[in-house]
Amino acid sequence: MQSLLAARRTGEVARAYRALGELLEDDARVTFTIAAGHVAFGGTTLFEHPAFGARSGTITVDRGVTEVELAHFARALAANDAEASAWALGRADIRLRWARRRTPAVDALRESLVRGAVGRRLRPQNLERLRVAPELRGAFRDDLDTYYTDASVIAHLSRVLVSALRRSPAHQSGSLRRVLPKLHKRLVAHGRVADADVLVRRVAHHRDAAESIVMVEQATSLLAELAQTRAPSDVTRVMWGPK
Amino acid sequence: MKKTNDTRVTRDRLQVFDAYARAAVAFRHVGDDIRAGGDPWADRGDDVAEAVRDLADFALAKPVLLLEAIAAVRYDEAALPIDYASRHAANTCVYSILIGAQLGLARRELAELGEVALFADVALAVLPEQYTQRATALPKAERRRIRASMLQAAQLLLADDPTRQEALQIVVAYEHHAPYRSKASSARSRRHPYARIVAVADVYDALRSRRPWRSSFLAAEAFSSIWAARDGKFDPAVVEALRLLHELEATDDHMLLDTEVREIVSF
Repeated sequence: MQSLLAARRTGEVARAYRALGELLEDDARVTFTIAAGHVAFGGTTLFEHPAFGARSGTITVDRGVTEVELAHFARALAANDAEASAWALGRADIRLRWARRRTPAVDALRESLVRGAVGRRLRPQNLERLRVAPELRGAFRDDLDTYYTDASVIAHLSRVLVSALRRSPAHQSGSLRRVLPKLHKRLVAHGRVADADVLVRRVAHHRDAAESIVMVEQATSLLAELAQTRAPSDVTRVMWGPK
Repeated sequence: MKKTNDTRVTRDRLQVFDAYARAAVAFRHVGDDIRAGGDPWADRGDDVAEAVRDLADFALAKPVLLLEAIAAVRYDEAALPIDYASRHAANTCVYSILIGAQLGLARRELAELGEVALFADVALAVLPEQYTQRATALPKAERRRIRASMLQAAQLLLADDPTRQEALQIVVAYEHHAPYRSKASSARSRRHPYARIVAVADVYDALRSRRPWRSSFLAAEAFSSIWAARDGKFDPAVVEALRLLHELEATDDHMLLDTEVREIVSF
């Protein structure tokens, strides 16, 4: 794959790219076939990579995609992540369509839907009638951007799990106890020490509950990590909370 | 030329129905695996991600087709070869994606949202059928058990060292039943934005679905129940986004009514 991408846009591959460029000028849509790890166009292999595995399918490219953009797409494929590559380009007019794994259950349900849909259509013109007000959309976007980083999602998860621990019967809380110290470590690794502090404080808050004793012990050992950067008095306060 | 366009619409509808079916069946398989004590996520991730990504693609390009898939499900729910929990999961996924699109979420965010919405009520998949199929309303003790399912869902989804997607799934499974504003302080809760979307989608589909102990709500009835709780139980921005879907589905209700009246008259 590396050789095809970095390369070596010579010979067959270069010809295929050129042919693609010509086609894109004329036709609204060009389809590549994928078979056994190869992306082929006009009988010429453009990309090959284990990311495709043994799957087959098509890549549909609409008019307006340039050669450079296609190469960008190919580089994303080279990152061994076929799913991410479809997003990497960020264009609505390139779609990966894998051959679906057909199962009787999926086929039966789809056929039922087809029967239910016969003769019934919704009216698309209604779509234009309402739009969410820009200020509401903006406020929602701001909230969502708060969770943009992985660290903020993990911090949120740690709050959720501590809340779950409060409600969890003793015999079910083992898995929660096991995960929280790992989240703590990841928060510290992300530089989110304040969130890690909150996690420890909340866990410590439940130190009297019999089922939380083990967890407090785990949290105590994790504090050694924090103690490297904070004064002991701070660590003590964080661990046991204000009187 | 006209013939070509019609063919394309039909093909698109089939692709949407196919994606819907794959999402619903994937949910059911996860439930089967959990009940059997196996690893529910083994070899399942790609199927789920691809089905949801297809739905997200169509939500941006032709959202009406997604609503047509749900309308097809509603046509005769009892005849569908899939259980209530699975179609509720797929419907919640579709509604969430559509609401997210109205709120301006990007394509990747819609796919992320769709996946967490699909498994938000994963605990339903492992509840005994007596809870989801009984002919009368649930007694108090059984309602309590269903309410506890949010905790059970979080635990079912819990991985030892969760990735971002797994973390989001747990957060949404746990939070989507909590109110937008705290009853005690009336302050906004710190629910994840995805959980706020899934909360509305989940309740709307539950009301629109026929249950053994009650008939389904019309779109207008379901929406007015949710509208009355906006800014309390539900995020007003999300409820606003639901208005569009409700309008479309209300149209479908009228069409259905007309069809039934026509059938009665012709009979």
